[in-house]
Amino acid sequence: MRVIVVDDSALIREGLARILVDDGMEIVAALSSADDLAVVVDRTMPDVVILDIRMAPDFTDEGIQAAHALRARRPSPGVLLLSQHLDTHLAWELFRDDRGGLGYLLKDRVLDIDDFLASVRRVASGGTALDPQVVKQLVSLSRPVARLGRTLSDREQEVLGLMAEGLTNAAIAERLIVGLRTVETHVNRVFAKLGLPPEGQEHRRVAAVLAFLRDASN
Amino acid sequence: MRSSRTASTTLSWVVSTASVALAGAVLAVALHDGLTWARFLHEPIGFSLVLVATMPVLGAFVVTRHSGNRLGWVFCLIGPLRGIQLLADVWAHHAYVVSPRSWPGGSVASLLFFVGPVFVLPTAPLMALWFPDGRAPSNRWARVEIAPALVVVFLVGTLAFVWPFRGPQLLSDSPTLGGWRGTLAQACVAAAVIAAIAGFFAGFASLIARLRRAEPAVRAQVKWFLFGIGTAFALNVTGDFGYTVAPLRVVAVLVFEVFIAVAIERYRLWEIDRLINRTLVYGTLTLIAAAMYACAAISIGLVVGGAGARSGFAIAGATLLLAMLFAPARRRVQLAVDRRFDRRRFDAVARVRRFADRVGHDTSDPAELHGLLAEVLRDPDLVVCFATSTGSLIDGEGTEVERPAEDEHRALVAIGNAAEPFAWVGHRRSLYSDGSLFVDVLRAAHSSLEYARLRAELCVQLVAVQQSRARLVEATDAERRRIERDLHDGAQQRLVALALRIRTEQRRRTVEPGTSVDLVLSAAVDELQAAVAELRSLTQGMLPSILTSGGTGPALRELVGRYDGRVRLDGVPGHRHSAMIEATVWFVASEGLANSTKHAADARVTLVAKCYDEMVRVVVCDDGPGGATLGGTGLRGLVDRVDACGGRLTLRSPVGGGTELIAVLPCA
Repeated sequence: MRVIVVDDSALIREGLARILVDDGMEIVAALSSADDLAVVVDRTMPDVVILDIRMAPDFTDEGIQAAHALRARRPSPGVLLLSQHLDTHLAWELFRDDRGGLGYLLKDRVLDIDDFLASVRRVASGGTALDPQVVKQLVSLSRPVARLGRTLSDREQEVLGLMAEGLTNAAIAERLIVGLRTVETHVNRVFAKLGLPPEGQEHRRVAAVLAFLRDASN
Repeated sequence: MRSSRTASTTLSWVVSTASVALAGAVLAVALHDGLTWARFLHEPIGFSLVLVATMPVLGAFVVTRHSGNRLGWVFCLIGPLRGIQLLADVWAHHAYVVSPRSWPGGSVASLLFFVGPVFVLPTAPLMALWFPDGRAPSNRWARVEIAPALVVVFLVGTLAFVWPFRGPQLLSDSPTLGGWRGTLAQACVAAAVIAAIAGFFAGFASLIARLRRAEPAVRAQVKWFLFGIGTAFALNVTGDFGYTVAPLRVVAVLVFEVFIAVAIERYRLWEIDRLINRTLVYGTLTLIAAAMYACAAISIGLVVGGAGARSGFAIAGATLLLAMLFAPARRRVQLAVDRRFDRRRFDAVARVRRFADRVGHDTSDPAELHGLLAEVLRDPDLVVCFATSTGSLIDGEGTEVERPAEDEHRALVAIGNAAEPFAWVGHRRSLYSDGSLFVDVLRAAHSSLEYARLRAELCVQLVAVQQSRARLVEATDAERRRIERDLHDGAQQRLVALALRIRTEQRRRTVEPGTSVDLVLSAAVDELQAAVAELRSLTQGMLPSILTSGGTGPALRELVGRYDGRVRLDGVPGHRHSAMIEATVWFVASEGLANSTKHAADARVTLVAKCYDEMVRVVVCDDGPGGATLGGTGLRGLVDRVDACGGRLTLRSPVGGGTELIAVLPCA
């Protein structure tokens, strides 16, 4: 699998490269800024680009801009955003697009190396990877503007957040210390409120989060 | 045009030279016949000669400076006309009285002496009618010019009829002219005098008409002229009283000429109104004082006993009484004269004085002074600006202004000492012709202007302090953002990189899994993760980057999100504001929410931030126990920060009645 790492910190670039190479991936480029990213992507045709959000020169949303540019390409490589912060409002527009191949993780999540590698693979193959904290913030940011009648209850949002983290119904039940059936009821109600068919499983679950966010931002 | 102008100028100077020569001739003859300095001062020949020698010079001067002003010619001609009569007088006197038959031409001289007084008669109506520009005020008034023409006709008639009587008999005070010729001659003289007097009164009426209707500048000129006539008249009458005061009549001639010169040339230089005003006041005062003095002296003299030895008491007592009464009497008379003769100025000055009194008792705003001055001076475009210690100019509100422009309509006058005026008043130039109104109003406004300047400068300093406070807050915010970024790009990145490095090595099994070293490394990674999380929450309270990048909307949503649904967000500003305002909104919300959720743990907390036309309003309220004060360091600092933005922070927190923290911030 071909990967490009873009991060302005050399230490982080090296650290990431080491993990990915150890896992058998190929680092086709490691860049300190997103300036030449388009050219490098053209030349190397990576499967996934791992992007820091805040980079030189302004340390605001350079990574997000680069992500937009990458997502506009056909075909576009998977984009995995890494951030030291919860800058989710910047990523808002990215998540309105319902195509997969997108991820947003907090940087220290990388330290759970197995999870991180799985996220990279998932994004590369067109899936989604969202940090639980990111989901939580996305949901909280969207809540005030969510439409009446469609609004999820607090408990439903909690369940939605856990679904977005990739937890199974059983894991959610364990986390919330409730019965499995209760969780299933919540999940079905979330699907219903978001207008998604109840069956379909794992992919649907992240889709539910994204559908909710898209709905809220409209 | 040019040549005719030069010609008329030359002619006028020739006439005046001739007149001076005439005066010289008269003087020569008179001296020859025994004129002394005393007689010169005390008899009509003195002031007449002065008139003959000086008036035409004034006339020539007017002709030179104002070509086309016929008044100059009138002044010019008065000299020779009067001079001929004087010469005739002294000549006939010599020819018939001093040494009979020694000089020829006595008969013609006697004739001219008899008719002479009529010569100057046509000039009086013309002077009054044509003043100050050499034209009658209107075509209707121009009919008055008939009077001097009639005088000339009767003059010719007189000459014709009196011709047979020429000789010494015409020199007596009341010559007897017999026969029908004599009767007609005397009738002609009488008719000429009547025509001249009628013409003079008509001319005087035209002057009054001018005084009422003409533009301010002409009014000032007429006032000068009238004042000159009045002064000369008063001096002349006084001179008639007796021998010692007789020289005043010479002075009267000179004074009259000076006033005419001022009226035509320099009427703007002095304040005629003030002069008239003071003359009226002190004239009246002198009369009153004299009367009072006389009454007091007499009554005290009667009381004390009337003996000559005791009259010292009477004089001293009367003087004392007068001294006591002088100041209040002067004030009264001044007020009465002001009120009667210059109502507008009186009212304007009174209003400005009242304003100054009120400013002293702080019931009126010194900034209103500008409007008041514009109103009483009837100059809506009036500009008042003040000099600051830094040399710039400010208006009454402390806003820096340009120096008011000066052109043909607007002028600028400095208030305060000449080297370093503290204020400037830009006004219409025509104000100068409203008599002393402008000067008196400014004088009355002097203290108020100084007060207003102090206020304005205070405003400037206040603005400067506010700006420096705002800059301090901005600098602090910038510093916070810099620290936040440094932590993010430096410490946090390094900690994550270090943890990553350890994890990688663990994964590569460089260290045997499960050994104590491996466990220590795992613990180290956990610690590093905790440190990163701690740094993150630290930087979040500092000034979140979301505020810079997304504005108050996303930042407040994110802030509320941190409280897990405990806080209701009821609206956010719809657009971006200045960094300082956004930071302040965020700090108010952040501090308010922290306090509410801490002290009112079970309460419902609501955050509302809304943008109105020119302000942002942030409200954090809860239905908790209340009783909060602005005393805590957190809120104290917040009050200062909101103040620095030009806003206001209020806290309503009755015990048991919930807490409401409200910040209102200006936004452009």
